Amino acid sequence: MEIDRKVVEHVADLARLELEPEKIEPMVLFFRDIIGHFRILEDCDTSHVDPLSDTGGAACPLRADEPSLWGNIQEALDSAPLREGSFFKVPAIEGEEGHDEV
Amino acid sequence: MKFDGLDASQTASAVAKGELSAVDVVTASLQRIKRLEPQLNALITVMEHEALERAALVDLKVASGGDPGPLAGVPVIVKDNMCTHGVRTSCGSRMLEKWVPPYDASVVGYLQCAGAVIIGKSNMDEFAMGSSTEHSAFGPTSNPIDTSRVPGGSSGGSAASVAAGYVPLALGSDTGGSIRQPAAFCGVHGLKPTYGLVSRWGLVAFASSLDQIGPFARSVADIALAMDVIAVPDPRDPTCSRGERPSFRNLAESPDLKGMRIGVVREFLGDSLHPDLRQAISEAESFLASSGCGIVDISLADSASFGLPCYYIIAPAEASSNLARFDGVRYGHREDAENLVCQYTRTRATGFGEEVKRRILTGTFALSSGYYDAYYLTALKARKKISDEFERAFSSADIILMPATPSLPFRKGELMDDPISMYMSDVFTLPVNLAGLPGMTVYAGLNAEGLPLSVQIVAPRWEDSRLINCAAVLEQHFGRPSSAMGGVY
Amino acid sequence: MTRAFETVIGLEVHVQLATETKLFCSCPTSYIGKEPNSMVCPVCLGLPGTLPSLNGRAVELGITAALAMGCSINRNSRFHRKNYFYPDLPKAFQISQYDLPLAVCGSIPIFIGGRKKIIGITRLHLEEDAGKLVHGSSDGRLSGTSFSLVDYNRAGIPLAEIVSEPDLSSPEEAREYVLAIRRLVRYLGVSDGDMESGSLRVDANISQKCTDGRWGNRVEIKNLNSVRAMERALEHETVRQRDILSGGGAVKQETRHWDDVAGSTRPTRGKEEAHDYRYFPEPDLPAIVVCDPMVRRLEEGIPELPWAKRERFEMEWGLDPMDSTALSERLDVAEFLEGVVAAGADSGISANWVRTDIMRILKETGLKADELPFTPEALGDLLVKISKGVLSNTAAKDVLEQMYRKGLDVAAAMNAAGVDPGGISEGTLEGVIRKVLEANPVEAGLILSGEDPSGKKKKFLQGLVMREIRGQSPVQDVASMMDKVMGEMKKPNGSSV
Ligand SMILES: [Mg+2]
Ligand SMILES: [Zn+2]
Repeated sequence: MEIDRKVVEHVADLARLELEPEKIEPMVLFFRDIIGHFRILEDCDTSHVDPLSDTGGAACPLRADEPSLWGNIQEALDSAPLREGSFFKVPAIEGEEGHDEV
Repeated sequence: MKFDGLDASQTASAVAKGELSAVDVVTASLQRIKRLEPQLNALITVMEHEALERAALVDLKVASGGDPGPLAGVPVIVKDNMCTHGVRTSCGSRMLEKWVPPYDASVVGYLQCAGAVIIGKSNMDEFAMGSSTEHSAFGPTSNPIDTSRVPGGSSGGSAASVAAGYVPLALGSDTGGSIRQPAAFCGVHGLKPTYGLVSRWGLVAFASSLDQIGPFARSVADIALAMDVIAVPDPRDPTCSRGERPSFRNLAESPDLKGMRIGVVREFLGDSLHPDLRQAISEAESFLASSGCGIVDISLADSASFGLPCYYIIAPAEASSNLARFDGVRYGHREDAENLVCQYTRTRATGFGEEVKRRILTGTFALSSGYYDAYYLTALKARKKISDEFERAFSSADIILMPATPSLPFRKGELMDDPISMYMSDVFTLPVNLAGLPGMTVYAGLNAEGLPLSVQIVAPRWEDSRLINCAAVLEQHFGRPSSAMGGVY
Repeated sequence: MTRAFETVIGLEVHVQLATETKLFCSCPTSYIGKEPNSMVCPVCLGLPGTLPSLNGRAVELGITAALAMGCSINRNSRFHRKNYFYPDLPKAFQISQYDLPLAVCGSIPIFIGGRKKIIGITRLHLEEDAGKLVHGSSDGRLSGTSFSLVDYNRAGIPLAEIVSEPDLSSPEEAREYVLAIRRLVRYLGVSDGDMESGSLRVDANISQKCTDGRWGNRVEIKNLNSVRAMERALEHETVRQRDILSGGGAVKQETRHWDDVAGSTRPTRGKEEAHDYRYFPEPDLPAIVVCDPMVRRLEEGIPELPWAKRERFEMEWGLDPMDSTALSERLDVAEFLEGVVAAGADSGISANWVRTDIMRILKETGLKADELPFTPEALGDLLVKISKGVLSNTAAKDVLEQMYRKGLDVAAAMNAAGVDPGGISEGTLEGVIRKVLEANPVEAGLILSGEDPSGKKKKFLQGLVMREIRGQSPVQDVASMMDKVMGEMKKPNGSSV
């Protein structure tokens, strides 16, 4: 697989990061470099490894279903960069149905 | 009573007895910070007002005959990725330059309950991504031992604070070596506990499956004391063990290694290791042998070969997801834009620094469709192999002895344009995170140039106490680090 | 040659689980009608440094629903992160399940035109809901505006996503399936299953299979806000896809949006490359470990399922499918009915009463059957009195009214309704009968002259009498007294009509 501008631009798009044009080429070079290191893993025999057998092995603790209201909501709202009443506010969404319902 | 040279335990007991006032201790710390900060830049936020207020409360408690706690009046610094209610928590990033959390990290609460006085938030590589504390939106931190050099990272500010004697105790976080590598560079002790021993609630995540909070100190006794305070079960962190913890302090007081088998990793003593550090390992080996330990050779071939690529896939992958929430909607930096996607991309472009962007992109790539199996999934499997390999090693050794870093502290700017060489600084520490094990950097004296030396010891999961025990024995040989730049403590 | 098509439909149903708290934090779930962002905390706002903590009740409800559908429960299941950017998603990832869901491989029966069809359930998994976006601007304009507002009260609400096999072959079957799922989750108390308020949501996958063996591509339809909307969308989409295929075209694999007003689907405007969710195991949550005792405990808590009850009502009691379906839909109602029958009442009469009078009362009061002020045994007693002819239907209804409005037991209610079996003297009864006969001379005449062979007229007059005496005489007594009076009328010296 060839790492080129298109790959980097696609990844930047997925990560919602705007890359300045002059930063793309260095990033392509970095990608080639780091992927070169990743390829060391091709020598790692992983054919009989189950990656999901946890190192810790503990089970997820289950919380009791007892409601409580958090007391500092106002503080959290106050740190919003943009707000309207108790709503957070965002610029209009392009193609709003593009969102996948959960 | 004078408090020069007192460690945290001694300070706390003097404050508890009323021999020292917490306000005096904290004032002295603050004065030292004021004097040295222009040179070191170890802190992002100094909490002068809050610290003096809390110190006064500690004194009041002592005066009224209450129990002020095991860290009574001890000034402590925490890394700026641990949330402090009402005090800015920046993670060294422009993204959170003005963010004030509406809650405390669990460890912050534990420290305060124990009577500690948090006096500042330390500088760090942005979002803990880096090994030199040069990747901070608040400028680089200098190494107190030689200010032309880096303190290591990403918890460089915490390491430097302890080395420079701002405080006897500081907390850092360690994802691939971010406590142990700066501890080595600054000549102090630093412990990364077993994954799941210390709560991560309120620690701004870098890589959730690897992150762990731990202490820096200039005595093993203080490391143990800090662990007694912060290593408690926390229902708010589902990965935090519900199990009981031993008394670390008792172990540090009467260390005994008789019959312990020390495993020395030969793969890690090759040419890439600085000769002075190799010398430190062999000195440690001899002393431990003379203290009644058996020495065995062990091999960690998978860690040596695959640790670095495995880590630099898994950590950025998790980071790319953890840092996706910084979008300018609910908190933090926001760039004004005409539509939502532009707000996202510009906010993130201007809020994050270069190294963070590199890692987000790397991680996004490793998880993206078409590359997931080749990179992320393979890395998960390699991680399992590394973990299994350690487990095998622990069948023949009780403690593993290996270097903490391949090199001595490098000069500022030296690796800034070479990210991958920078990544290499973590080559000995990151396998320990991948396996979830406890690892500790123990101070091992100074070399001929006066630069600090160190060794790393690693134990099986949940055997953190074994490390404290071993470090206490090594401290008898190498001595305690003294504070650089004429410290208070 | 004209081609024939088969429609192939699979549904993804999201049900909001009936917990008190959100899936990963202790915020309350009762967000409807609340001030925006008034039921949020650092966890569901996705603030830095926060960690999820799993609601055990949500896991139990998920397992309960899965067991009822005969699924196998994975003893080890996992959460994954589904990564995408959208302002209603506070962490920019949804914690969901991916390749190790809570449960797999079940089924649910549906009934189409009296025929039973088994629909396969591929999986049931847990996930968190997103917040809500309000599209609008500060000046209140709703369209063409430049801002959207975000409310995270719904963010983190626990959902079970139930994915069916592509076993549904018509919009009608899809409807029956959704109704069956809704009945089941309500019946089990797993969810309120309310589509209007969004606690049950459906996405549909639909494709066409051609008789020549070719398949059309699969289309996913979103924005189905009611069962009716889903049916219409599937009907529309069936025609659209068949038209394309008949014309030799190819159906594009895509996600389409149902426009209820236009009555048609259209492609979503979202960017296709945004569909790279970069799933990976959620590192903040260890595996969900479900032990055998937990499964056993939940299994024991599952009552006889609605379709089993329905079959039993038909087999044992001879109820017709309409009644058996209606009466097995709600557990409280079904169990109430069973209590009435157990008290000795006739199953047919009981079914009739529960379906009409009890359902009406439940609807009026919003109560559940087990919250009524009277027990099923009490109603059973009352209905036995009807069967024995001690009480008329009409009188019994008055009594029931008293039982529920005033919370009286049967005896007291009968008293309050002025109903006293045997409280009417023979003389009074005779007087009433005479009055009724006089008031209805035509019917009386026909009976007397033997022109009422089916006895309908007689029954009618008896009914009038019963109403007059408020059912306070057994039906047999009324009948024999009426015969006696009419017999006297026939005698030559009797008063003529
Ligand atoms: Mg879903
Ligand atoms: Zn919440």
